[in-house]
Amino acid sequence: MTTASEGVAAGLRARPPSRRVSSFVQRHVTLRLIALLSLPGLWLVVAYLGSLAAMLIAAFWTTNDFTGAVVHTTTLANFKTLFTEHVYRTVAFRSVSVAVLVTVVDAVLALPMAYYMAKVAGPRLRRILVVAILTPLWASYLVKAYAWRVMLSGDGVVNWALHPFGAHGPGYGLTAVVLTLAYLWLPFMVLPVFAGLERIPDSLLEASADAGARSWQTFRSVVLPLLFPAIVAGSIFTFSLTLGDYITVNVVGGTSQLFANVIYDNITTGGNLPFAAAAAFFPIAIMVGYLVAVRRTGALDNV
Amino acid sequence: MAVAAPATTTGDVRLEGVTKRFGSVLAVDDITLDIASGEFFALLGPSGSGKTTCLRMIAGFEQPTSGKVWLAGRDVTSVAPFDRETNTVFQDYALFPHMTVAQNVGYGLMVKRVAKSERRHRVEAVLGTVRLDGYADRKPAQLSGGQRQRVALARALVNEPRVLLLDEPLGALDRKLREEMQLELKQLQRDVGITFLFVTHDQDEALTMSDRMAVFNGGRLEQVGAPAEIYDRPATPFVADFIGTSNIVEGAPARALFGSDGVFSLRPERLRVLAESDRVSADESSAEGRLVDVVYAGATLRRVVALDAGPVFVVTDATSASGSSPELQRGARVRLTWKPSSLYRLG
Repeated sequence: MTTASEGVAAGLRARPPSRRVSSFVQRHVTLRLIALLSLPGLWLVVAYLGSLAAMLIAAFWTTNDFTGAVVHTTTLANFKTLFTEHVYRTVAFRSVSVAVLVTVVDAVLALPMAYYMAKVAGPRLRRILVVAILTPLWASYLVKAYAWRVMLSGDGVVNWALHPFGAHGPGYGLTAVVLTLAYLWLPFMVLPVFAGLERIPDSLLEASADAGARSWQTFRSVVLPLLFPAIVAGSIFTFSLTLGDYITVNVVGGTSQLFANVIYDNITTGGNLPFAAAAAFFPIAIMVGYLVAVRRTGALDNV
Repeated sequence: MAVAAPATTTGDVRLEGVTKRFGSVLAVDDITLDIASGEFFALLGPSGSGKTTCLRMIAGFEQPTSGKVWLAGRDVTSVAPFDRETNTVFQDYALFPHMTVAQNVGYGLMVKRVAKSERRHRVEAVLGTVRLDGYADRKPAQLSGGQRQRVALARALVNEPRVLLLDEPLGALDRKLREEMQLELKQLQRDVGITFLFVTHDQDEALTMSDRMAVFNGGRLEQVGAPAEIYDRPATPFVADFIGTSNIVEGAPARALFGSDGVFSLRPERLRVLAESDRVSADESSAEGRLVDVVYAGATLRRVVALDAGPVFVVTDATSASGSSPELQRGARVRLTWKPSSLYRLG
């Protein structure tokens, strides 16, 4: 036995150091996990959760009305203002309504598009369509928003196209905001819905037709329930991106303001960082509430 | 609908000169086939032979490129699946993962707006038929493969179709369960009395279960008939080889062995292996050769004999049978014997 183990030891010694290190790491699962996760873990804790915590703490501070300097005493004053002042409630309600509308418009547009891509188009056309859906994401956000501003202007292409029918475009305002944001976030809804549809085997649709269901019934009873998690995933994007947007509303929104403008204005012109931090908790609270509500429906149980 | 049934339409299902192309691929090539009411009918063939495409055209999932599909005397060629009196058991079962067993089974009834109480009653009854009482509230993910298969069966049967279509229904089950289910399906078909049309690539399954079967090859029909008829009198060399195993001989060796030109088939179980020195009885023919392989397969003994006349024959014996000489070793000189009545001439 001694000779055998000596032989093995000699073999180990003979190997280059790099091999020995990798075989040592190979044998220690914890070490491998540390190597894999230390960098993203650091990022998550410090940059991600850290900044969130800093914001949470700052939300309980105030500023000196006279000097504008931040006062480091813990108070609920910011939240009290947010809840009691009428204007913030109005803006909050308006923002959520816009987010809901954008999400609904995107879902309604994305479902048939994704269905065609996943279930009707051949593999070649499918690849082309995926690229076509992704291409607008390469263009600058500002350029796209201003493109809509130009299109929706008084002598823009929208009015020009509607003129023969005796109609005119929405002009600048909340309708234009919904339109532009729905355009901007559409890929974020199409892609998860497309992926969700691809995961539904064709045989399920055939089984439904085989049982006597027409297309609409199959869509309602089979496709939609199975697609619900994908739609929720897409709606999280469209909803939270809309709640966080303050540029589009400045470009095409006319005089209307959304909640993100409250945050932005308090950082820039208002110079009230603590109040902006407190206001930033509104979209977070909305998203958490939304996710809890979705979870309650049990639709995510099969994910 | 007052569609006059043509005189030729006798059975439940009729394919009339049906051809199906997928692009440049000819999947089904001019098939005409009649299936009688109440038959247990198998579509048998290797993969890509067109059997599943035929089933899908009967279900309505595919449209024939040309030809007609008749169901109970009605031309359904362009009728949508949801308007056909057929129901399908899919190869992957295609159970709705978000519904319970009861909801899956009751789906067709719900779609047809059958009253809730009647629906519950019928679902319960059919779950009893497939021996799944007590599983109504489970989700498909909580069931074994065999149980899912039964749910798929119940979901199709509850609609009381005229014809039940089964696409490789037992393909995903392990061997033991498959053999159980074969007998159970057969019994079920006798009980409900409707036409069962099932696709399989497994010749044992087709032989065991079907009243009649159609053998497919390359999109064409090779032969239609009862299992015994197809096994004993295969119409083509393909059928002789695909159904069971056959020793097929043609040309010069056929002349040497059987004294005639033509294509001949000899089933392995109709042959006996004797030592070269053994005596051959007067009513048997024989040929000499060398034993090149012996494979023990549990219930059967499979031996390969290279005949001096050229062809290599496979011989199977029940391991318990004493007629052959099981003690022969590989490499031994042997004599193959058969009754002339076992020899079947293919053409």
